[in-house]
Amino acid sequence: MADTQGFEEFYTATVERLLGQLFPVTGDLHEAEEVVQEAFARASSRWGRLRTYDVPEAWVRRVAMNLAADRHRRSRRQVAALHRAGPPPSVPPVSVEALALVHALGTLPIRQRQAIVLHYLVDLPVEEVAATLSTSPGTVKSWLARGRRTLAARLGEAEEVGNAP
Amino acid sequence: MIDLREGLQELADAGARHGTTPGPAAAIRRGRQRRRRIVGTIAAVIALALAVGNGATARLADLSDLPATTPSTLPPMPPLDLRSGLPTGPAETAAFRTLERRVRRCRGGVLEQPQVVGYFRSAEFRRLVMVVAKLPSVGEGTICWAGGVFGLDGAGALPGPVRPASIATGLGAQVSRGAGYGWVRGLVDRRSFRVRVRFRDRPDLLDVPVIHGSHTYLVNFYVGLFPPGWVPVEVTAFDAEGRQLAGCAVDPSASALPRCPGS
Repeated sequence: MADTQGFEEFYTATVERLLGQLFPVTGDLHEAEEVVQEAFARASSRWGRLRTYDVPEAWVRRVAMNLAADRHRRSRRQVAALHRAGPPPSVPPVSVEALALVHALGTLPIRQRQAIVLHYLVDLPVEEVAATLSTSPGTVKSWLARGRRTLAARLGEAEEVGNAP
Repeated sequence: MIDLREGLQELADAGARHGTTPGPAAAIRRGRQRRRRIVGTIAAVIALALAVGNGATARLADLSDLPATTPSTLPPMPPLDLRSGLPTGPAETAAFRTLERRVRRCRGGVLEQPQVVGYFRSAEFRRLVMVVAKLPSVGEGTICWAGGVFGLDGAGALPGPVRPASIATGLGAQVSRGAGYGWVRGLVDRRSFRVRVRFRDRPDLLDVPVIHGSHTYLVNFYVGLFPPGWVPVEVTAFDAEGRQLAGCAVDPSASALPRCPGS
């Protein structure tokens, strides 16, 4: 169908990267898979317009980030219940240090987590992180600083955890 | 010792390597389904506005009876034309009061008022179907909920008391009979999209759309109607891509599947 022409190639080229970027945000691989797939579903129904964008991947990433934040907010009250009644978070095999980072990231508010991933993993400048998260650059700087501080305290390596933007 | 960038990159690589998605075709299908839902909702809102304007509210019930997207030899069920939130019509309000009283008495869940998960009308059976539940308390492994089938005037009763049901169950089923119909309902895994019901000595399969409630319920719900005299044998849950997630026997004597919790 003409409306979805090129969508499959776009999906194939970007899905793994986006999964990788959303996983540190959600801390659960299944959750990351779900929000990424939903973001692609939304992209597919707007593909006629999105394919004219310079970087349609940025749109999908933004939607996936918003979905992750929405799901996090909705489930916050039930986190304890999920931990007790549901399966443990799905985490692929990683080093002990990376696993500790997953846990430490999980203690951050979702917006700080997103800012850290967008800035330090996706390598977006503060201004683009702010645009992606619909906030001001000053707020992003604050989130990054607080996030780094918390991570440093959690991981016990104040000097090792990143540099100020 | 961990460098933030390196640590994040390791996580991203692992996520990219081990993460799986159903693929682009599934995303396109899901996008189309979502679009249909939105278009359907907009159409319903416009029709509602027009009907109110014309004083023709009595005909609105027919809007719920959109054809099912899944081929079935049974009367189609409205797949996702589900209303939610506090009901406003007199029939829906009466049905809610009936269910709410029963769910409130169930021991468990948060103290707040039981809430409507969803409701719809079946034109084929001339019935109003509604699901009401209490949010489970933090750490609670059960949920208090009830599915009910009512007349289009909201009259009806529930078969038996409402008891807490386990939310760890991937799929449960209870079958009841009404005047001119039978019905099956249960809890189902949140990934589920449809529940398929097989009947004794019949080739017909009934595809029941899953009622997706708030994420905080931790489970989803289903209620399906079928003609009188039909006997459900087993139920199977599928996700949106058609993958089988769980199955259980309503009638263990006629199925190799394990018995459904609640049956």
